[in-house]
Amino acid sequence: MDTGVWHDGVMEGTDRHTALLRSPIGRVAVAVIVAVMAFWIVAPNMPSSALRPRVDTMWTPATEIGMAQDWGVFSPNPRSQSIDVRARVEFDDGSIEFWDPPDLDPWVGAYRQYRWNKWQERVRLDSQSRRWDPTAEWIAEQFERDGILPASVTLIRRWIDHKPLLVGGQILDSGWNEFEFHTWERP
Amino acid sequence: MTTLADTGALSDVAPTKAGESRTRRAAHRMFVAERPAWPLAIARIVIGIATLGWALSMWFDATTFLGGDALVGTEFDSSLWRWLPIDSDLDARLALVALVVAAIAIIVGWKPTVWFLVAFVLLTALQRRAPSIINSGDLILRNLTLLLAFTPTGAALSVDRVRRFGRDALFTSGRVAPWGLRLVQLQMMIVYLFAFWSKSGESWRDGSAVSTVFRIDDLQRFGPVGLLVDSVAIVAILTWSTLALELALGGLLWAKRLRPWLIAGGIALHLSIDTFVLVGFFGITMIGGLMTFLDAERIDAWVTRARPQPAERSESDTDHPDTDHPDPGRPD
Repeated sequence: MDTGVWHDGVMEGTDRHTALLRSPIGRVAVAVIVAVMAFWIVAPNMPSSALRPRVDTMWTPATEIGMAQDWGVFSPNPRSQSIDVRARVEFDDGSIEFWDPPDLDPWVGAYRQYRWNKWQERVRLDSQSRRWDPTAEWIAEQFERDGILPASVTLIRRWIDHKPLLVGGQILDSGWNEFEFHTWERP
Repeated sequence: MTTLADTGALSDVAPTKAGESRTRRAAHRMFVAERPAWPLAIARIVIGIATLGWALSMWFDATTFLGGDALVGTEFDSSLWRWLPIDSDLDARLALVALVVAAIAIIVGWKPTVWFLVAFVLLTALQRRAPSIINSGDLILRNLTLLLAFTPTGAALSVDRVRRFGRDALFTSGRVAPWGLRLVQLQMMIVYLFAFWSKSGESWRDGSAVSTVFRIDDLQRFGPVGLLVDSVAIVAILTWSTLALELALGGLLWAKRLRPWLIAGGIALHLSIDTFVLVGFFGITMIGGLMTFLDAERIDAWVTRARPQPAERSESDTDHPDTDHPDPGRPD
């Protein structure tokens, strides 16, 4: 069918997405795609309720293929702590070194730094304790000397508690606190 | 210009008959009525740049986060479908090279629908290899690559177009049905609406939340900014205006009169967050998504006015005599 935009003798055909609307089958396909995708975009955002566990399976295919709906940014409140993870590495001769995640530049490095910060945010949690040994072992490998791993690696979580801003602009933040949450020893 | 509707090709779906229901007319306007593809093309380029940045930035940490002996071991992969197994340094680097190729193809507009699907699969596979390092920006980038595959993003500003109609085709756009565009727009509004909805905590209500955000050491990009932290009035204005803007972007972006202001507000919001907070690719991806709300007809009018006049065009055509179709012509 000669349709579409003309360019001085050269006909610009209709793109495939638009052309789908030409046939009844195509229109049905578009209607189904729009309805299903719209449901998969909206429904997973439904708040927790008694109903939700019963209907979760309706968007399981979307979740499986890679669509994700989780937009609770800084919610319900921003986190009230600054957090940090570091490691104390001890060698057989008693010497000690510290490992910290990289501190990258704020211009280009910022687009890598957020991944390190997300990792810190998660690895420090008690619910993630199964990550602690592999993490400490990986850090130990970074400090290998002459093929010998350090004697031990101690993971340390550090944090600052942030209180809400007070009337008058007063800020009551704690200093850095720290807690050794896991020690790995060379087998 | 001759369009599908003009030729009657869509007459059976174009509700022009008298007495046709308002609902049907609205549905036609919403999903079928053709418009220039400029907003989709601009969104395609921005999302392509975000994807390219994502892949290049990941390259430097591929061994650390994605390799076989990574800090985040393969035993911590997502339990969800990964599309591709990424279990070694080589797997990760091959996937990232493919993602760079996909991103470049998307930016220049070479078969962008196919490459958007490739980018979605690769982003999902890479992100599911180490889910502990991803944030909301990574998720929305993934979603938009999939949803933009449902749209004809190559119908303007694309290599595909230049190859077919010559270089002058950069100044024209195909007219496309917007049914896929609506999915991208719906996703964008849902992000804003539920970002607003979830901020139900005390610090958002009392107007102090922004102060806390800007004091979180591991989120600061350039260090603390005094006034944004300790000025009660400025902090309250920023906190509540963030909520107001998210609500407006989540509910009013389809209101034509408000749209330019909301798009500008959304861009300002993301640029300011990006300036002060480490959010990775969230800002640029959301700005890319906002581009789909631009007024297609207005852009078309601007481009038509800015297009080189015939004399200029003929000079430039002389410079490139190998062009098959030297003058694709402007729309009638």
